[in-house]
Amino acid sequence: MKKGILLVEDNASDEKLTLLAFETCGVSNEIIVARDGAAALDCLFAAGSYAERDPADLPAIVLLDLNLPKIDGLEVLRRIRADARTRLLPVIVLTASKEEEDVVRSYSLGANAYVRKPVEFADFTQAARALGLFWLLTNESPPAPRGKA
Amino acid sequence: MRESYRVLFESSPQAMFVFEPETLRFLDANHACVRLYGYAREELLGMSLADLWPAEDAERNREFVRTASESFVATVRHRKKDGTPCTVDVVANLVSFDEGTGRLALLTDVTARVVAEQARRAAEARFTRLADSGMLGIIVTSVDGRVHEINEALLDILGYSREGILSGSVPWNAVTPPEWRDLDERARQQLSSSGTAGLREKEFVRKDGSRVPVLVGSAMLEGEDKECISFVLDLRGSRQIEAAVKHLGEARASEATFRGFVEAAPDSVVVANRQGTIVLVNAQTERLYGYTRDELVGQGVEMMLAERFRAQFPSRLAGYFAGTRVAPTGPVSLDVYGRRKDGSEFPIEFTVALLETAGETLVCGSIRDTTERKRAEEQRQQLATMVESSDDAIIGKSLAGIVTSWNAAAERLFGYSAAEMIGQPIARLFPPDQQGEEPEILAHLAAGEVERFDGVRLHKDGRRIEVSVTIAPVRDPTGRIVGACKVVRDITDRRRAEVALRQAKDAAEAANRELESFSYSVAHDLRAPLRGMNGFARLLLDRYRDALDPTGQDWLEEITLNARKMGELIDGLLSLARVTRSELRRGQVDLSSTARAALGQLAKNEPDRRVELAVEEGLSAEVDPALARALLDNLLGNAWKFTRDAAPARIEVGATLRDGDRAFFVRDNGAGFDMAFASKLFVPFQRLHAAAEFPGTGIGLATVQRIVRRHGGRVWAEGTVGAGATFYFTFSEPKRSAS
Repeated sequence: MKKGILLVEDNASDEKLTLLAFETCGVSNEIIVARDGAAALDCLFAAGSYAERDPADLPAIVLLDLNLPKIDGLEVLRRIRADARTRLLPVIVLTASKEEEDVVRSYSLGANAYVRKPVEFADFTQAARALGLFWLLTNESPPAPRGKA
Repeated sequence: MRESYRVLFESSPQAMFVFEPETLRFLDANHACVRLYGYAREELLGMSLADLWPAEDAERNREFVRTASESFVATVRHRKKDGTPCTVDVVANLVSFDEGTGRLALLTDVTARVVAEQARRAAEARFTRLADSGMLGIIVTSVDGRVHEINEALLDILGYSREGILSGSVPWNAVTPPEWRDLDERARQQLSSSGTAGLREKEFVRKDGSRVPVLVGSAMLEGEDKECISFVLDLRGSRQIEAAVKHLGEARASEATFRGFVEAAPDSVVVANRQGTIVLVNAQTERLYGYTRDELVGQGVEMMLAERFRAQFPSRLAGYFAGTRVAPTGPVSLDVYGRRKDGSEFPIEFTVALLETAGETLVCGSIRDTTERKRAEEQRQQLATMVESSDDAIIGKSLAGIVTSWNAAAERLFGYSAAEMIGQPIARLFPPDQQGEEPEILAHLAAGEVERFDGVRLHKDGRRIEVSVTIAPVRDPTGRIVGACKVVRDITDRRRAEVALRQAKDAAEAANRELESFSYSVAHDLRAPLRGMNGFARLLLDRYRDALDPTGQDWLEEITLNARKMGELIDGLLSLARVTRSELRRGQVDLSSTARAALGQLAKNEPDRRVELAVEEGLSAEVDPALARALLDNLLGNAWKFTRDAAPARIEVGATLRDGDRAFFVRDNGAGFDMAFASKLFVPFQRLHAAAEFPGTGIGLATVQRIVRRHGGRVWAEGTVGAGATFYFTFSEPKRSAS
């Protein structure tokens, strides 16, 4: 069974476009959408409204926007890296910003990749395809953590 | 007396006699003695010593000899046989003879010496009388300028004490102002070559700093001491001349004395009779005018004057005579021009005085060349005018910080009049919190430093004034620092303007920052809806193409195209904002390889383009690497874009020297531009080409300009339509200051 993708995105249009881009390029993994930073963390750690999820069932990748309600993307990233269960989880920052500062901070907090959302849908699709190809097919996922931290 | 001694006694050139100690009778006398007194030996042997004494000395001499010890030395007056007095030095000793005891006296005639001594004393007394007459300043110096003697008259002229001058604490050279030193030097050379120096009119600086015009003549004194005597005539007013003329009249015992006096006069002197005909001139006149004596004597005295002064002169002279008939008047000085034999004119002071002689009344004119004095006076006047008319306060002060001069601008600036400030401590102008500055300023001054600083001073009404101050030491003629000249400028307005400017700049910068952060967030937030517009239009085209006719499809294409264009504009704005916002991190950047990397990227994006590239090796600068790359990306991107239609296309990167600065350039042979629009090149969103012709956002060159400006440099372009463009840019040296 294919692992899912966690998309953390608060912009409804962008959410749809991202889903369509993945669909267009043939990525068929289940995509779970969290619309703020808090929901993203609940989903990963099986808390709150995601309490019945299996905490061991981590997504293959997390697509993380930076500009998020409640808990912003960088803080989400920091908490993912701080927790032993998700320490090795591939996180791809997917954002409108191409500010050097955002890029540097994302990488220094342990982002695996930084992708800027292009205006051109074709470019977006292209990016989604590349992401899916690399992170879902080519890349060897880290082994599932054993037990709880 | 033994025979051997007798021969010695007889033949000695030294006059000798022997006398009996009690009776003073002569026992013997030699030939020299006979020659000295004119008495024959036989005559002397019948006389006593007392017979040689003048009557008035007899008593005293007798007592002296009676009480004298075995040996004595004395200088006594004797009388020769013919009655002439003489003075002799006597050395007497008690000697034993076969006949008994006698006194042997050795006699030396010193009459000549004594007479010379008396003459010398008389001469000295005369000189002293002259020296003390107060008419003439006299000074005796060594050749190197050390003062040996100076009289009261000269001390009066200078205002110094004798001790001050003789001790050397007031160096003699120092009383001559610098502009007269050349003249002195010439006189010194003349002295050493000829023994006398021509008369020179000059000035001395008095102790109180005022100047006194003087006339000086010098001569070497005879003797081995190499001393120089100078006579100094005070030229202030006519008192001295009057005295001299009076003296002349009195002294005119003989024509020779009179002539001598005229000749010795320091000025050019012309003596004329009542009719104004010249009867006598001195050597100074010949020298001054270039005429010989013979050419002048017998002529009208007015020929000494420039022609325009001549006509009125005889009548003035007549008027002068007429005036004296009623009551004698003092000398009259005229400031006129003289005319030399060669026709040249020069300013003179012509002082006319009457000379009452035994036979007639003469006119004595003394003429002084005032060229130098006038020039010095003019110069001083000019300087004084400059100081007085200056817009800056110019203040003189002593080393003790006491104000010595105060110009009109100082009055305006500080509100105090010159009378209120001169003699007052300058510290009066210092606010209480800056009183500590003065000792520091004075210390710098003493070290001879010129100082400039900004500070605060107090106006008379208590107002604080912002000033810039320049202080330079003032030296006396010997180079000693005796005070300071302060130039003070009111910079209150400048300060105010600076503050206003700074505030305006701060406000502008704040507004700019706000605007940039606004444009940053706007740019981000604008992108999201664009993505939506573009994405869904694209999806519609992809998935529902069949539901639309070609026109609908075309319109959807337009939507995606416009959304993309707007995205590019926003990206341009973002990069422009980033250039201004990001911190400048300078480092040595290899611009050659940066340019090659940028060109490499361009070639990769458009592998079909054929472009000749010429990048000069070794281009480097201390700049921000990221911004340098952005700059070259933009310029080379433009060059790449605009050479699209050139064949062969060529892009060149290099450096050259422009206006003394190292300027880098990017040159292409592309579309170029019209220089008339050169000023619009760097304005954001200004484009010189239609988008359909060459696509672009109009942000690139604005970004380039910002990058260059952030580095303190300039950017400019040269181009011709159809023949390419060259973009030049410079970087300033990075600031090394701590800030």
